[in-house]
Amino acid sequence: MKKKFTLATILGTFLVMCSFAQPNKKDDIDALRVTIFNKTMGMSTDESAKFWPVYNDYMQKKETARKSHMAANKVKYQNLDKLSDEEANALIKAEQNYKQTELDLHVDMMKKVKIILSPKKTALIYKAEEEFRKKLMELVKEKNEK
Amino acid sequence: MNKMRSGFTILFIFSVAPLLASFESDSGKKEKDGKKYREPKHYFSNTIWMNHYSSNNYKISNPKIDTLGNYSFKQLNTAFYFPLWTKDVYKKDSTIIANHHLLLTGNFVYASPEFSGLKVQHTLYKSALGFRYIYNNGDKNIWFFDLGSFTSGDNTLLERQERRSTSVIVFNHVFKDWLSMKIGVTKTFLFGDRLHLPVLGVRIGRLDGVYASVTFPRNISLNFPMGRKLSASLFVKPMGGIYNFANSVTYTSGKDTILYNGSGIDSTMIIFGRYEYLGGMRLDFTPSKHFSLFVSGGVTSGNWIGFASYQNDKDKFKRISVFAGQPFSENSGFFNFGMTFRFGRTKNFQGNINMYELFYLNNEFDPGDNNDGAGNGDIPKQMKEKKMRKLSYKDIEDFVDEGDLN
Repeated sequence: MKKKFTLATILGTFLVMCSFAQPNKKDDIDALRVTIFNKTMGMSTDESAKFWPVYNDYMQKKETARKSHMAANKVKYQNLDKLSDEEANALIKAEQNYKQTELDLHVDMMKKVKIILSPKKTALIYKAEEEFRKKLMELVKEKNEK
Repeated sequence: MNKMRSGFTILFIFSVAPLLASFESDSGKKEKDGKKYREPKHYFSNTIWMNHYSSNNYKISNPKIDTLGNYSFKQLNTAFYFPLWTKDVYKKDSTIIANHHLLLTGNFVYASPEFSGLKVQHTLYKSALGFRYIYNNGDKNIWFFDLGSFTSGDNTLLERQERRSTSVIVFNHVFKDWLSMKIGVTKTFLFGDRLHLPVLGVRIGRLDGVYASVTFPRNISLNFPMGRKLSASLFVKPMGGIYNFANSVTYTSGKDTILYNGSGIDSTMIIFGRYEYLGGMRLDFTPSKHFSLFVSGGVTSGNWIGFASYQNDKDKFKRISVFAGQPFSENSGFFNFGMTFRFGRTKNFQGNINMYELFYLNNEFDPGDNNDGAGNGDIPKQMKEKKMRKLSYKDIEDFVDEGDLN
């Protein structure tokens, strides 16, 4: 009885540890974004302290909008060729609304960042975003080449 | 019997943690058409940690209690905090995001002070439950309030328990990402007595890099990352507490007696207090933000134990006077290991130094007043571009456009 209990505890511990120890690539990607943005935009400590909450908030809202849109229309996207005209129109409208939401969020974020940073530094967001995406693509290419 | 209980506690934690994790991850599952995606509500993960501590033997010389023989100490602490409520507040032009956090906190400690002179050892327990409120004004200031209540008892006398409260109020200001200071007050039993102490602290160095921290009365530490997954710290900290201890003891000779011969009050239970200072090194291994593991070891010094009667603990605002205290002059080694589970999706706070500070504060003041926190595994480390592992397209599809593929 005692042996079985000990064995079950050890096995349970091991399984739980394995499931919790899986590395999360999204966190690494988010951390990489911070490194690249801070380097490219050359923000001071004060600027960085104010910039990141705003930018994270923007990213969170953007992700929510994208996932909500995908969740609401997943089946339609999977059966595009089988949609009725009515369904197709609804999907087009949903897609346009989603794109508009994305744009609104971006405009709103840039408006806030312009208050925190100088216009020149604010414009560097575009460079930082490009550098970040370029780096991600490099990492994918490196994996594919292997 | 006590070992069985500890075993069941461990098993319970390991059974509940994955259950809660699967419950949490439901909100992030692949969506069906029409089902709304739910944004993470909190910055804090649901966190459970446990650790085991043990130290060596000391000889008791106080004639009032020297019949207890040698003293050694072991402890199993299981603690948690769960975020209950989080609110972001957009200030001014929405460029400053303040936030409120309310957490449910608790812990359960099995403490085994082992006395070689006793035939029946007393396993003491302490279970605490509390609430924690943290306010980050989004502009370098953090307010931290913790109120906890703990019940302590002795397994040889389960019917008698005692409830006590602990509290912490701290104001923390972040001057720069490499410098922060804190000031506050705490009601603590960390030194085996009821004490009302000021909290004073300074941190020098970035929380996601190398930093030194001094927080009275909690710790002095030098922390340094060793890559993304491993970090180390050199530390000095006090550890201790007070427990209920059954007055009736059985010596190895078989003789039953009482430690305190009191009158006028119920003296079936007395107070056992202890403290020590630990100095050593701690290694934290954090393979993912959901799990971390640590080991620490070093020297324990300034050990003290004391027994007090409830006769001398009537005024709940005063210190407790002991009827038999025993300081130990000799040093010895200690060993401590543990693990932390964090589950659930959280809001993104990468690069947000105010939030890093908030996590650091939360981890520094552990639930249950044991000075035995979850570690700083929830504070992201700096990512060096060269250290980034290779990715597949699936990992990055949310971050790139079709144009980037060309």
